[in-house]
Amino acid sequence: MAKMNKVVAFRPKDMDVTVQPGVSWNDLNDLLKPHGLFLPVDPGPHAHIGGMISTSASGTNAVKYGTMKDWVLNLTVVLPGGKVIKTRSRARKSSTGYDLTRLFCGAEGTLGIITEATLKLTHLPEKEIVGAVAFDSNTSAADAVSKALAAGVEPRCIELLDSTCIAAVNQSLKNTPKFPVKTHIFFKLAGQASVVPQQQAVLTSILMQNGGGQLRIATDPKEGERLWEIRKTLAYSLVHAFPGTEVISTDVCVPMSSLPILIEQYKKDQEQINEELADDEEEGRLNSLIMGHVGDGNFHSMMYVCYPIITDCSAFEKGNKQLKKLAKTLERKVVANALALGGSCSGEHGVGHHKLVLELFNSSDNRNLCHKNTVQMNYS
Amino acid sequence: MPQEYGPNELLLMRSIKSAIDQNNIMNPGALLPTGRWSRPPEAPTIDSESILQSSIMATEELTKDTPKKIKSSTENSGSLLGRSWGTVKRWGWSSGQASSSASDSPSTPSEGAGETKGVWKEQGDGA
Repeated sequence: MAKMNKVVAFRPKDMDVTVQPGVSWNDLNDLLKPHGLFLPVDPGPHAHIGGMISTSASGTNAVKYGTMKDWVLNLTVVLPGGKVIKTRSRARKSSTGYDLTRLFCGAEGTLGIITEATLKLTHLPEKEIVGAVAFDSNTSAADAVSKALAAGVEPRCIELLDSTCIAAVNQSLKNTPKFPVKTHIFFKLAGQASVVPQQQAVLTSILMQNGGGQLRIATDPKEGERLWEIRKTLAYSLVHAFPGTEVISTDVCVPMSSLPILIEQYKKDQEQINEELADDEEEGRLNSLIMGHVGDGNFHSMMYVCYPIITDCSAFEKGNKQLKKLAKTLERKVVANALALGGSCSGEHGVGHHKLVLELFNSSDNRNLCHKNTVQMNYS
Repeated sequence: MPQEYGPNELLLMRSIKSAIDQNNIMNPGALLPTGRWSRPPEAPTIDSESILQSSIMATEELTKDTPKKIKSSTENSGSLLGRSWGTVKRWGWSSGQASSSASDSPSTPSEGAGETKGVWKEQGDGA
């Protein structure tokens, strides 16, 4: 769909835009900026509208603006038989019929091919404040955010980066003062100029009262952009810090108040695995880092298990295989815990093939099974 | 997916998929499970029951500082809306629903809000 990258119609008075699926959200927002509007869903920088709809993507802005399915007005879809449908009108509200638009949001391309989407837009905020606060632990940071949100603070973004992420960030900083190697909460407040400073006062006071310290607030918009750039480019900092490393990542999401408990349990489970490994020094340790959209109860743990950069790979091969197996076990544990807490195995990445956790039959059986009206889930 | 959704929910998703994509040509193998578990799912290592219970506010706590008591459907029975809704629930709004409505929805105004059960308890009385 890469060549279907046209903006079909922009209606500033209606605050909506119709685009083809190959348009990148970043390019779209560049076009909309002079008109004071933007699409506030912000997944990875290279995401395109079609993929964002198909996975119901979200990003750091989700805590204030919701996910992709909240911003789609209608879709044009080619069905498997070749028929073309438009899921609904362009009106902001419609209480008629089944919600076909949402049926295709998050369907991961299993129901049809999206060829056009009409998206809602919103105004660019008048004022933004960006800041960062250090914490001694991931749990205390997540707990403080949970308290701030419960107190009525409405940040545009509120993100957790653990000490490993901060160490990686520090490596890539050149002309900016380095951060203490601790868990950090990065936040962005946005809205009317009269409201945002009040929100900042409440948020920072709650974060500082609940274990926060070493507050850093950007004093002007340029500094704010630079500070937020650290969060936006975190993935690149990690790649730079751990070159060639294989990563197993999770995307669990739980109700907000359960997040600190889930993170704490994740660390305990990891420690238990490492204690079992301690007898055999050659096996090494299972390491991981955490970053989270803590305002949504969503966090990603990344277990890094292979170090091909080390020249003598053979010495690590056996250990890495074992570590990879243990990382998969830890992944399944965090998913089981998230589900037990009323959460989801994927907050924003989708299911794809990976999260089916199934041993597939051969392709012909697979095709037939898909159309049986029974779901086989016997343990093999 | 099979851990997150029950068999009935997965069956409904599969039915939607089958109805729209009869030949399974749209991204086959993604999203919906089509085979057997490769291994039993991992058991939670967390005491979720007590955590979930602790996050629920008791009903008495919820209503204790409410200045104006929210009327229950029993108290609404005197109003025109309450009476009409009670009639709809007793008799249903189509012949197909009449029997199930009469048996499944005891939350008519005369019977009181505390006696709701099944789907009505889950969803409220809809008024």
